[in-house]
Amino acid sequence: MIRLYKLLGLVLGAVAVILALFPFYWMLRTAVAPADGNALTGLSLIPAELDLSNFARAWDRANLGSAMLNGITVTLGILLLQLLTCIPAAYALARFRFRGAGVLLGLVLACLLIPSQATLIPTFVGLNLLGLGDTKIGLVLPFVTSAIGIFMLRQQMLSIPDAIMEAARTDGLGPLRTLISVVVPMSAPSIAAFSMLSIFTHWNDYLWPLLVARSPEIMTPPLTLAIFQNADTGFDYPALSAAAAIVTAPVIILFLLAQRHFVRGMAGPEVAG
Amino acid sequence: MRTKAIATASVLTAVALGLSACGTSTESAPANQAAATSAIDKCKPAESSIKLAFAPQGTPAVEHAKKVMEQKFPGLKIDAVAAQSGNYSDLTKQIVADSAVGKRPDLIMTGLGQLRFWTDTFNPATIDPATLPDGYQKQFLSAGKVGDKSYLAPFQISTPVMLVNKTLLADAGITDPASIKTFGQVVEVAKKVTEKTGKPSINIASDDLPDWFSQALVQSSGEKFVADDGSFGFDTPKGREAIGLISTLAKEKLALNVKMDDGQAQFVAGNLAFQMATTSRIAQVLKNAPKDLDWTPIDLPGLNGPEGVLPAGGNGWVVISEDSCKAAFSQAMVAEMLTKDASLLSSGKDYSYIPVNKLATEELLKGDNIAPQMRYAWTYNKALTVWSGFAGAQTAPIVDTLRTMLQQMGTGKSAEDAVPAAAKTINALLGK
Repeated sequence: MIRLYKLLGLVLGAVAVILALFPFYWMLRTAVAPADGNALTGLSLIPAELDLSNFARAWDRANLGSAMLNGITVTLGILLLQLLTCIPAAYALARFRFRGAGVLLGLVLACLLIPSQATLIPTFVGLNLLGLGDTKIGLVLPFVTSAIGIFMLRQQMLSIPDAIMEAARTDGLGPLRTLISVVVPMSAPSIAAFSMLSIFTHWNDYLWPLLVARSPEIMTPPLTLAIFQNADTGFDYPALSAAAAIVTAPVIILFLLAQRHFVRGMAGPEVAG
Repeated sequence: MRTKAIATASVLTAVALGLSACGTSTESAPANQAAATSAIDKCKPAESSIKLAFAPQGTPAVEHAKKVMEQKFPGLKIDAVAAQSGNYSDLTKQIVADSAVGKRPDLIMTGLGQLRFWTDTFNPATIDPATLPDGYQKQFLSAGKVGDKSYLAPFQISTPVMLVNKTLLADAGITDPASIKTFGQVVEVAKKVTEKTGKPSINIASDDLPDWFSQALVQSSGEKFVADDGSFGFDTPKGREAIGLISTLAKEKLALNVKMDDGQAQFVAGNLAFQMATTSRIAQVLKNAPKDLDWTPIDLPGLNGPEGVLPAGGNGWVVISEDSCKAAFSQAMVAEMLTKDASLLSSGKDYSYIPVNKLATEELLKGDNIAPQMRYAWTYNKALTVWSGFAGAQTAPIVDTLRTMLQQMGTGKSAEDAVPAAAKTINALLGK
C-alpha cells in the first residue's frame, strides 16, 4: 500500500513537472520553428524544420544586447538598495524594542495589502516632479525598499536564538557589528530567497518600465519584447519566443545556481543550533 | 545610542516605503481640453514644435511625413519616436501617464476602439476634411466620428472578414465561396466539413475583441450595435438571432473557440474551413500559409445576407494639442500621413491594411503577381462605422460584459438568455 502511495506520488510529481516545464519547452520549440510560420501550425511537438535564425533576428530587432545590460543594471541596482534598506529595517523590527515598533510593522504589513497598480500614477507623477522620468534612476527609485522583504527578513531574524545575540553582546559587538557579523550570515537563506524574488520581479516587470521608459537606450528586456506584437496583424511568434528564451535564460541559470538557498529561505525561518 | 540610530533608520526606511509604495498625489488632473486649430499661415514654424505618440506600425509613414513637413515648414521641430509596443492599450497608458505629468503629446495614434475614450476624456480637436490630401477616401471618416464631428483620421484600417479554406469547402460541395452570404449557409457548410473531418471547422475569436466581433455579426445582419440614444442596441429579435450564431455553432460542436492567433495557425494548417478575422491579417496569413493552401477572404455573411455597414478596425490620428498652432501643424502632419506615398508605406505589401488613399490603391494594383487575397484588402472601399460607439468612460466593463455574453454563448447558452442579461448590465453601466 505504501509503495502504491509512493508510486502515485511519483506519477503526480512527474505530471506536475511536465506541466510546469511544458511552456518552456513550447517557447523553445517555437523559437526554433521557421519564421515563415509553417512550423507553428498543428500541434506537433517537434517542428518539421529547425531555424535558428530567429535568435539573431530577435537579438537585432529588439536590441537585446542593450536591453539585457539595462535589465541587469536596473535589477541589481534595485536589489542592492532593497538589501541596504530591508535588512536594517527588518533587524530593527525583529530585535529591538522601541516605541512605535508595532505601528511601523503594521504599516509594513499594510503596504503588502495595497496593489502596486493603485500607486502607479501617483508614483509616476512624483518621479516626474523630481525630473526623473525616462531615466534609469526612475526605473529603480520606487523600489528602493520592499515591504515583503522587510517582513520576510524580520521573520527570519526573529528566529535567531536570544542566546546567540546575547553572546555577541558579551563579546563586545555593537548592534551594527552584530547585524553584519551574526544576523546577516544567519539570515543568508532568507536574504537569498528574497534576492531571487526581487530579481524575478524586476527583471520581468513590464508595467512600470512601460510608463517610465521612452528612450530606446534605457529599455529593459520585457519592454523590448513588445516590438514583436502588433495589435492588428498579430505576433511574430518565432522571434518573440526566441527573444523570450534569451531573456529568460539568465534568470533560469541564476535560479539553478541558487535554488538550494531559495528553497531553504522560502521554507521559513531556521533555528540555528 | 546605536540602538536608537538603528531604530531611527527603520523609521526612515518605513517612510521611504510609504513614499515609494503607499504615496498619494495631490496633483490635479490635467485640463483635458485640446485647443482649437488656428490658421496655419498665422503660425511660425521656427517657434513651434509638435510631439507625436504612435505605435511602431506607423513608423514608415511618420518618417516620410516628418521629412515633408520639415521641408514645408522650415524650423518646425517634430518629436516623433515610436513607442516600443504595437499594442494600443500600452500606447494609451503611456499617453495618459505623460499627460498627467505635463508631457501631453500634440498628435496621437490610437486604436479605433479607443476613440470614445479620447473624445470623452481629452476633448480632441476636430479633423477638418478639407485639409485631407487628394485621393483620401472620405467615406472612411465615418470610422472616426462621434455624432457628426470627425475627431479621428483613419490611418491604417481594416474590417471584419471571413477567411475560407476553398479545398475544404469544395469537399463539402461549395465551389464558389463568395456564394456564402448567410449565417445559415455558414452553419450548413461547417456541419458538412465537420462531418468529414471530425473536427471543429470554424473559429470566431470572440474572446480577443468581444465588442468588435459581436458588433460585426450584429451590423452585418443590419442591426444596430448601439441604439440611437447610446444604449445597448441589439436586444431585438433579429439582433439576438444574429449574435445567436455563436450559440448555434457551439451547440452543433462546430466552433473551435480559440484566440485569433491560434485559430489562424489552425487555418493556415488547413484544419479550419472558416476563420473570422480582420483584413489586416491577410498579409500575415499569406506569408505563413503553405503554397498549396487554397484560401480566400469573403465578405462577412449576415443573418439574411450582408446588409449592414461593418465596423472599422485598425488605427487613426487624433489631435490633442493644447496649443492652437501646434494643433494646426499636427493637422497638417495628419494630412501628410494620409497621402498616396505615406499610404503606400503604411498599408503596402507588409501590412494588409485597407489603403486610405485611393491613389495608393491604384499604385498597389499596378504591381505584378498580386495575390488575390491582398487585392481584397486593398480594394475594400465601402463605408465603415466606428468601432463600438458606447460611451468611453465605461469601455472596459462594457467589453468585459460582452466577453462574458459571448463566452456563455460559446458554451451553448442561448442568445435569448445571454443577450438580455448583457443588455441590462451595459445599460445600467451607461445609466440608461
